[in-house]
Amino acid sequence: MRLYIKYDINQACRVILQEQLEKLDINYQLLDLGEIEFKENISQETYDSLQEGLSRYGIELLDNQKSQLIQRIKDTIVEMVYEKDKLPTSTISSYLADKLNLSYGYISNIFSENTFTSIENYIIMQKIERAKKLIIEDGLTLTEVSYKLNYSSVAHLSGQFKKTTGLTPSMFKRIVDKRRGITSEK
Amino acid sequence: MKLKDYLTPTLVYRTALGVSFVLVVSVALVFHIQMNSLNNSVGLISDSNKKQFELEKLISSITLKENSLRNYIITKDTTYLKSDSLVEQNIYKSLSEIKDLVQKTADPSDIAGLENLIKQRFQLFEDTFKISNSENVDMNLLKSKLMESSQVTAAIRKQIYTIRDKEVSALKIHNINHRYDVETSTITAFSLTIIVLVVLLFSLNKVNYDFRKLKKLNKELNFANQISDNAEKVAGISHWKINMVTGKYFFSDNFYRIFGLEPHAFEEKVENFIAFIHPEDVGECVKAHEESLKSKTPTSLTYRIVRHDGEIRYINSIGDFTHNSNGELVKIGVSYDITEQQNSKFILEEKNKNLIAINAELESFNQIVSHDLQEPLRKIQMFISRLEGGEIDNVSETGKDYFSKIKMSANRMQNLMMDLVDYSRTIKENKVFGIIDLKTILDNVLQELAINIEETNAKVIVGKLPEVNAIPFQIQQLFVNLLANSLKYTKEGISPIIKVNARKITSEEIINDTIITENKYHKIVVSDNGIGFKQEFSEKIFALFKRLETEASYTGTGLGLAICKKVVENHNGFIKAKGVPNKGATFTIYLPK
Amino acid sequence: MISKDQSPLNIMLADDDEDDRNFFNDAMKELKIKNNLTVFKDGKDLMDYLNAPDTVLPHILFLDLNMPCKTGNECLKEIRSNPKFKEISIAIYSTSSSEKDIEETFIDGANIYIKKPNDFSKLKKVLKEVVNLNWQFHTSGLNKDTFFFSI
Repeated sequence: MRLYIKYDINQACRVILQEQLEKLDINYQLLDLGEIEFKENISQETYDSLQEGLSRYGIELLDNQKSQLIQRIKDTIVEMVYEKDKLPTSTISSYLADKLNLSYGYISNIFSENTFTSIENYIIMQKIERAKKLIIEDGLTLTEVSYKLNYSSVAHLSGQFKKTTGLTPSMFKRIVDKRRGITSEK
Repeated sequence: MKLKDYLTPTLVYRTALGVSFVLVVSVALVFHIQMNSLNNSVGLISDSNKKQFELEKLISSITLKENSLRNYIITKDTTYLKSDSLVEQNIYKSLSEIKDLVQKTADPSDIAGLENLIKQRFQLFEDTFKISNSENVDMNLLKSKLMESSQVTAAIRKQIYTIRDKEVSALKIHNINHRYDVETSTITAFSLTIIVLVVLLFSLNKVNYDFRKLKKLNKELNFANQISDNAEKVAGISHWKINMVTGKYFFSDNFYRIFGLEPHAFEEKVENFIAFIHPEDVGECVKAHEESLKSKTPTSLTYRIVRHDGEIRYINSIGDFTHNSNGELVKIGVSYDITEQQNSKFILEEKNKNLIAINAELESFNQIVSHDLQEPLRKIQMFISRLEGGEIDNVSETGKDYFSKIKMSANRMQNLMMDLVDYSRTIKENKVFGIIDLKTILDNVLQELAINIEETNAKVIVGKLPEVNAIPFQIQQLFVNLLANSLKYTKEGISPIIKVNARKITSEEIINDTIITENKYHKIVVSDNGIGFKQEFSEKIFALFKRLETEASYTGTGLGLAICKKVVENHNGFIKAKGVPNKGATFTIYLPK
Repeated sequence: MISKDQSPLNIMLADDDEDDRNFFNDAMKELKIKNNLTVFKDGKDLMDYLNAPDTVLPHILFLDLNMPCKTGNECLKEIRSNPKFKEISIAIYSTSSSEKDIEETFIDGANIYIKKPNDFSKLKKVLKEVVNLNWQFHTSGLNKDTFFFSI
């Protein structure tokens, strides 16, 4: 069952915000609707509590910092998958934690909450995406691709490929080739 | 070897002929020369004889004149003088003859001496005559003159005898030569005769030999013709010839038989033949025939003929142009009765049409099963799941149980239908064979089963595999089914290990009356370490819908191996199963090369 | 679970079967994803609507293959030949599971192939995954040309 909340954003929001901010003793200033300026830096803890408090009312903080962080996580992952020719041997969690200077648990949570998919899934998605590129653009064999992307075997790669896309790598290649064949005929 | 190639029989004969000709001619020449010399020697001899004769004549003539004169002197009878001039004439004649003859041989000085002597004698004759005729016969003068006369006569005689003796000895030589010539010419004549005889003999022999050979060849030709005729009769083939120069047609014996007639039943004219052609085909046939005669191009026609009894036969006729032994352009061809083949062809075409129709039916059946049947089934399953999502709380335990059973049955039905679709695909028409690498196929298979492989932690070991001539999607289905089985029927708690290898066929194996040898078949073995099966069921497992009494926990429709068998059969191969309960199963596939 | 502040997802479905349309609708409702769902009974209606000048284009279009008038394949080819519809993710929604058919639809330009599930909860799961994946692709700027998903 769906619940539509209609509220007078002006009135209700301001009141709730004020309540929450004061509860946490945050020095603030409300600017235009949708903008809060913190007079001083607040700790992550405080920030989280604020968010938690507000979320009960369905208000979510559009946190630039957060989305920036998400973006950084994504970028790091992409860099890890693409630019290093072979993925690092250290575990992904420690790699990310080091690179971003944050605990992996925190990274993981933030990511899941905001992108609705886990970091692991995202990594797999990017790896498979790169595998697709390697197969089509670079024309590598599956063995070469699985080596480059640090899979334990071709079967492992094929398995993940199939799980992610529902197609086997060879079917994928066939489809792309045929599609390209069609466009080149045009 | 090279020399022998040059020494062809023709060359040998020609050389022999040339040699004998040369031989004969040269011997004849020699003979001719010898004849000439023989002639000469005969001439010489006759000349010699003649000379001797003349010499004798001379002497006698002189003696005669002497006698006449003497008689006159004695008697003074003028009758003895009457023949004087004649005798003188004779003497001179003989002398001139002798001169002529002598010119051919040596020693004219002898003759000249004789001539002088004769002249002397004549002078003496005259003198004597004068003396004897004078009034006062001077007897001493007369005597001396007579004495001179007889001396001269004696000298003449001596000279003549000298000449004659020379002649005689010359004659002896001439005779010897003559004899020699006669002998040699006899020999030459004889050898010439022999040579000619020999050459003649050889020629005759050769002619005889050639003639015999020709006769033999002719006999063989006749025999071959006879066989060919018989063969035509047996095979229903005939041949014909059209001589483009004379315009004559020739039909072989069997040609008439094809029309259901006896040989030479009608005159060899093209109209008689055309009369038999089916009215629907006659126009085309005549046109093609006339065109080919004009443009001298080969023809190949199929047409119907109608026999006298109304039976219709199909004839195939092929003809081409060539030259006969006289250099004339002829068209030769073969006509044969293809009625049987044509009928078979029609039957085949009918059957083919039927098959295509059946295939189309199968195709629509396939379509029905794969879509129209699955739709309502899916709906059933969907609605059940909807019920389970909410309504089921209002149902009793028994009810819930029933629903669950409905669901299971529906699922089972769906699996069965999907397998049926797979099975019918292996029977379908479009079987395109190609050379495929089994390694690639196995790669695809492993990809398709990748999730299963990972879930069961299976290890699949694929050895070196050959290239085969096969239908790609069917072979892939074959291996997918086999490996899926191996992944499914595993021993509890034990990760499956599957091996796929190509093996050499070491000893001949016999399957279904076919001998399997290394150079004719590939052998591929798929083995696993699963639950296996009892060997007594090794044939049964390939039957349609047959499942062995295994635990219900192993799901299956019983079609997987039936599909494998069908695929292998489509490739004219074999599949055999070997199982050891609780140890594993091994499937051996034989595919023709 | 996409945040409310994000604009709703525009989804279109073309399916001639009423039950299937209902299943789809119910599943989307239960997924709590804010969406605008437009349904069509056959391909012709769909194409007419899409080609109309002011139409708001969907993010994802679910296309049944077996439809009267115009089949899903025909619609697919038509849509993919029009650059105006380049951004639309097309999900083929079909009963067939033949590999050949799946390959064909991908070659013709589909992004997603969904074999109609026979269980409602599976349907929900599938739709959620599809929507999620589509959004992932969208937000991470991944290559649409190689975006294939078969389930």
